Amino acid sequence: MLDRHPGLRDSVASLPEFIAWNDSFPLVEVDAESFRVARGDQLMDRDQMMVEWIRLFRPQLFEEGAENDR
Amino acid sequence: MTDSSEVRRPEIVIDGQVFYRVEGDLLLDADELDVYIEAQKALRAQREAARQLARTGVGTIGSGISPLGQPSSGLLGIMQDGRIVRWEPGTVLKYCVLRKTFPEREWYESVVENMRRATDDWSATCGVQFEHVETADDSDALRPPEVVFPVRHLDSGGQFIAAAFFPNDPENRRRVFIDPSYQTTSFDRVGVLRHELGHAIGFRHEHIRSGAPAVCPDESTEGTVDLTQYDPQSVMHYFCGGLGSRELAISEIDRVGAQKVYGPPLTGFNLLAA
Repeated sequence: MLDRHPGLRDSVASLPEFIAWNDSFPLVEVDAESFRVARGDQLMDRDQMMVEWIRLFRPQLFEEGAENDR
Repeated sequence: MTDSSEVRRPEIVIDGQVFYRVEGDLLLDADELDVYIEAQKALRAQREAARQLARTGVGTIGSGISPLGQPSSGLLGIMQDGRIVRWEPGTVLKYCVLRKTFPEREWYESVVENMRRATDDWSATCGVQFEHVETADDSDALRPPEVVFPVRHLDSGGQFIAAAFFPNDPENRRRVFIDPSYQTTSFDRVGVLRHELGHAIGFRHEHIRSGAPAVCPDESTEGTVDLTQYDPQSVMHYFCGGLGSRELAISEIDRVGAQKVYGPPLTGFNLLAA
């Protein structure tokens, strides 16, 4: 999803709102990989957390990207 | 509206046997027609009860029928590229329970038994097949190649009781984790695995749907298919806002929803080889 929107990953990663939200989820290590425990019982990597945050709080970021695609 | 039993059905004779045509392209013999008519009567009665409930707020409705009078299917599926995500027909979801990851033999044994019961429950609900590959339980690998997913112990510090995956997750992310808190949880432990296996066959949390209490955990519903009304008794519903249950049982509406995606249980068929 993020790959379809060039630059979005980097711009969201630096947003203080995303960073604070992402950091509010517990972190677990599995086989040397880090995941956030989100949705109660799901392990999500950073990209998945980013997509979830955009969908919840900034859906227009994906819509803007879609318009650019057109 | 007319009663199906009063309608004169078109008769078709095939090889000397009389069949009756219903719904445009179904041919039923006399006995099947009787069953069909009774089923239609029951369906109409349920729809009428549902309409009554919607109109007055009083009454009861049979399972599988929404207040809108339409067949309902609880459960929230996953959409990808405009299609519902599910395992390919014929897929046997082979799994193992990695014995060496569990610090206690009893923990491993309880998970083996509870997985057996939870997978049996799903296989009795819809057309999914699971198989415990016991020979892989003693594997040193964390991803034995002979299984679709391993079940393993992971101490998350109580961040979850158990965690799972979705069918469209990458292969290396297909695994079910069991936290030590699973051993002492007040939830039904088979129910916890029923819930996790619900994710593994493609169902999202029920409590994120419109109609769920606001206090229930929120998550994005983007990429989900919300076919009908919300089912507070769904196996996929958390125990929140006074709804859900600690049994995490598969509800009748879950059954309808799961069969919409996977069809009826395979045990209900007489499977013939070509």
